[in-house]
Amino acid sequence: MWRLAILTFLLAGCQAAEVDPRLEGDTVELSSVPFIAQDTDQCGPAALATVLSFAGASTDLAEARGAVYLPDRKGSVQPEFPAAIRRHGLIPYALAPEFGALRQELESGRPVLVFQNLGVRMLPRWHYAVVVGYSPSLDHVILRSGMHRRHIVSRRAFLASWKRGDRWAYSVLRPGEIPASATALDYLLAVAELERLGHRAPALESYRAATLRWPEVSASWLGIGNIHYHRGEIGQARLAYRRALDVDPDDSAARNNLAQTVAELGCPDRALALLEAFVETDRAAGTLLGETRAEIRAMPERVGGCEAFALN
Amino acid sequence: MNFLRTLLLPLLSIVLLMPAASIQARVVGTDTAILDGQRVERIDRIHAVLARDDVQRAMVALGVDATDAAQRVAALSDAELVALEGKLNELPAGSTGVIAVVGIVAIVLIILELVGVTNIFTNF
Repeated sequence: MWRLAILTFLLAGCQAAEVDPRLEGDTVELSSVPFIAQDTDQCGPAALATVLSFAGASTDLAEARGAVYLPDRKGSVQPEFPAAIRRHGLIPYALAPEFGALRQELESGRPVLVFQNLGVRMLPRWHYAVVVGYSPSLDHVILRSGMHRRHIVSRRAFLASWKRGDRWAYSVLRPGEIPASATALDYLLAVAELERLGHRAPALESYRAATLRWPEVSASWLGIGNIHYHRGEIGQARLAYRRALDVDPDDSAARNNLAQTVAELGCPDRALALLEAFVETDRAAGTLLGETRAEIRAMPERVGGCEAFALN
Repeated sequence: MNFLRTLLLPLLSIVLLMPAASIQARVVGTDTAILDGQRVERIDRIHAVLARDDVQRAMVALGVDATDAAQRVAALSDAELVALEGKLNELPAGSTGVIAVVGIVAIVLIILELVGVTNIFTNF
C-alpha cells in the first residue's frame, strides 16, 4: 500500500512537471564558434569571450575577466554580462526563457550564452556555458563548456540544469541583427541602452533594422532621430521624428522632439503649432510639451527658416 | 561612506536639479520614451548616481581593479544597476569551484550524478 502511495506520488510529480519541449528540425552545430578553455573559476569570462569573439569583437579571456569576474566571489554575476557585451558596441538580447527561442538563435547562426545550475537547488553549482548546437535525432545539446570544446549533454539534462538557472539566456547581436523571437519593446530597449552608452553607429543601424521588422512601432524612428540630433544633424533628425509621428500621431516624445528640431531649424511658429493642441489635451505629456513650448516661444525666427517646411 | 553621502547628496541635488543648461539636449531620450510608454518605474538620477558609486565600491572591495570597476559600472543599465545594488555578495556567482560535501549528502549527490540529473563531479 505504502509503495503504491509513493509510486502514485512520484507519478503525480512527473505529470505535474512541465513537458519538455521536443527537439525538432535539422541538426544545427555552429562549428566556427571559438573555444576558450578554462579549468578553474573562469567559466563566466570564458563563455563571454566566446560569444563576443564570435560576434566579431576583439577580446580574450583576460579582457573578459576584467569585465565580469569578481575575484573574491571566485565567479561572475549575471547582470554584468549585458553591460560587458554593450561595451563592445554589440547588443545583449535576453531571450525568452524557452528552448524554442534558443533553438531559433542557433538556426539563425548565433550561439547562446546560458547560465546553468549543474548541482541541485540546495547545493547549487552555478555555471556559464555557450550553446552551439543541438541534434534532434540524437536528442542532445552541444556546448562550449569549461574544458570541453564539444560538450555533449542529453536534452533532458541540459533543460534541467538550465531551468535551475531560471533559463537565463543571452544572444549577442551584431548591429542590425534581430532575433526571430524578439519583441519590439525588448529589442528597442536593448538598442536604446547601447545608444545611451554612446555607441551611435551600431544603434542607428539597429534602429533602421527595427523600422523594417516592426513598421508599426514609432520608437525606432524616434531613436534614429535622437542619434541624428545628438550628432548635430538636425535636418535628418527632423525627418526621422516626422516618420515617427506618421507611424503614431500620439507619440508625445516624437512630437516634442519634432517641434524642437523645427524650432532649431528656424521656424518656431510651425513648431508651436505642432504642440498647441497637445499641451492641453495630453495630460501625461502636457508638462513636457508645455516646457518645450515655453522654450520655443523664446526662440527667434530665422529669416527663411519656415520656407523649408512649406511642403510638409 | 556616510559622510560622503551627506556631502554628495546636496551637491548632486543642486547639480541635477539645475535648469537644463543651453548645451543640454531638449529632446526626449529614446530609453526614456520607451520606458515611459511602458510605465516602468525608473530610478531617479540622484539614486542612479549613488547606486553606481555603491556598486563600484562593492566591486573594488571584492578585488576588482578600480579602473575596471568604473568602466563596468558605467556600462550598466538602470535595471542592471538595481539588480546589483547591495547584492554583489548574494547573487549566484557562476564558477566551477569544488564543492566540499560529506556523508549522506555525498552519497545522494553521487546517485544523482550517476543517474544523470546533475554534473557536480564532472570536471568543467
